[in-house]
Formats: sequence, C-alpha cells, structure tokens
Amino acid sequence: MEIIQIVGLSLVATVLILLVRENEPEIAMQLSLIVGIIIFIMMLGRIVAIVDLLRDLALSAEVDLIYLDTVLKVIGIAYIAEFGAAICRDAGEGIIAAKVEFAGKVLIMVLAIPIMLAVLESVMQLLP
Amino acid sequence: MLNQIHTWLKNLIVIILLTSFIELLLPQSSLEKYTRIVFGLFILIAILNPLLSFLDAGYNYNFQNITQVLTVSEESKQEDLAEIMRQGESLRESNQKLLQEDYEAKVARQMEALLSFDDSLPPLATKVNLGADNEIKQIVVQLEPEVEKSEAAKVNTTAAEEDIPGELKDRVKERLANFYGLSTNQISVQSN
Repeated sequence: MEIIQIVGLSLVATVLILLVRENEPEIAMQLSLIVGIIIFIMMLGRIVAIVDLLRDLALSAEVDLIYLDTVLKVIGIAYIAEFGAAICRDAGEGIIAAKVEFAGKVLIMVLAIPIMLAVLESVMQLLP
Repeated sequence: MLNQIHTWLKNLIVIILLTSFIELLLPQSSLEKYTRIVFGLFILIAILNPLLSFLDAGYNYNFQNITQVLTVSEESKQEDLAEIMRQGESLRESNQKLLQEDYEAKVARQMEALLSFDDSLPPLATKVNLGADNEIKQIVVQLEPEVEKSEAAKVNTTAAEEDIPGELKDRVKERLANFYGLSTNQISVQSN
C-alpha cells in the first residue's frame, strides 16, 4: 500500500507547509521540494519496471531501441522540467519557471530532431 | 510475402499497445504539446521503417550518426571509450600475430642454416608452428629431392623420392631436437 504512504506523507507535508508558510516561506518551499523528491525516489523502482516492459515491447516489435530511448528521454525531461517549474512557481518566481519550461521545450525539440529527420528521409524514400 | 505482412501487422499491434502505454506516462503540463509531437514522430517512424526496409531492401537509415553528432551524452562517451578499447585490442592482436609470423620465419631460417652444414642432406624447407605461449609446438621439415634439371627430370624425381632413407630423416629429427630441446615426435620430416 504505497499509495497510502505517499498520500499520508503529502498530507502531513501540506499541513506543515501551510503552518510554516506564514512566517517562513523559504522553509515551506524547501519542505515541498524535499517531499517531491522523496515521492519521486519512492516511485523510481516502479518506473524501472515500466521502462523494462516498454523495452521488451519495443524489442518484440522490432523498433529500434534508439527511438524508444529518445521517447523515454523526452518524457524524463518533461517530468523534471515540470517539477522544477512547479517549485519555482510555488515560490512565486514565475519568470524562472517560464525559463525552466523554455529550456525543457528546447531540449525536447533537440532530441526530436533525429526522429524528425528519419521520418523526413522515410517519406522522401516513399515518394517516387 | 504474406509472412512479412503478417510480422509487420504483428509489430504494428505491439507498437500501438506500446504507444498507448507511453501516453499514460506523459506529464500534464505546458510541455505536453511538445512531448506529444515527439511521440507522434516516434509512432510514425516505428510504422514507416519496417515498411520501407521491406519495399527497398537497401534502405537503412543511419540514425546513430545524427544522434551522436547532436547529443554528447554520458552513454555515447562510454560507447566511444568502448570502441577505442576494442580497436586497441584488435591492433594489439594483429601486432602479436605479425610478431609471431616473423618469429616463425626467423626460427625456420635458423633451422635451415643449421641443417645446411650437413652436406649429405638434400635441400630442404622448414616450417615452424608456434603454440599459444610462443613456444615451438611443431616443426615440419620438407626435404626436397635433388632434381637434375635434365630431360629425364621426371624419372629422376620418382627415383629420388624413394631415395630419402629413414636414417636421414632420423638424423634431421635428432639434430633439431637436440638443438632446440624438443622431443623428436614434435618434428616431422616429409619428402616430396
């Protein structure tokens, strides 16, 4: 029953943060950061299982693993950028949050370039 | 033909399953639009690639090159290192092989020189096989019968073949074995 642990942890953290935020907002921010990281680490083992499954599926479908790696990296970048941006926004720094999201977008697009080129090449091959 | 379509369809089903699974993983944020684009491209390439390689047998898009140019990630560095290590290993092996061949040729020449002191021996050629630790494993001595280069060469050859006596072979064997500290059954003397 990991979900109960996680919900319990986040409820306790939320109450604490609400209490602390009035007087010391920076402590509240650190608290939410730490709780986020703890939840992420708790989920890491499960994520490995999912990635393994995806890998097996891709192998059985004869998809090149490089493509799948790219997709997984994109998902990872999206999650991490979102995590960082949410914390920045929570702390009232909307500008930095926007920049973090911008960086995430650029990195995702860079990762997408090889796939895009491959698709382009394939389509060019299909055309007479 | 039917078989290939069958495997392609099967792969398609797995890809669709896979994509629906990954879609669950997508985070709900402003980045969702972007992840979706990459994701669509991935599905496209996964469907297109087998089809293309089926239509055009020579088609093989080199994806690795572009990714390596674009992303200098940790793993690609490790791959490079592994590649360099592999190259070094093969270089070392080829060097080792060259050295061994050189050594074999030199030892063979030395043996020929040693045996040439004996005037009663016919001209000969030696071949040395080295073992894994560069020790002499086997020596093959080829005795060439003396052929008089005359019109009757053929007749003489057949005569000479029978002429090499066992005693001569034993002498060659014993001499080489004594000189190199080998046992006589490591040395074989042949005549042709």
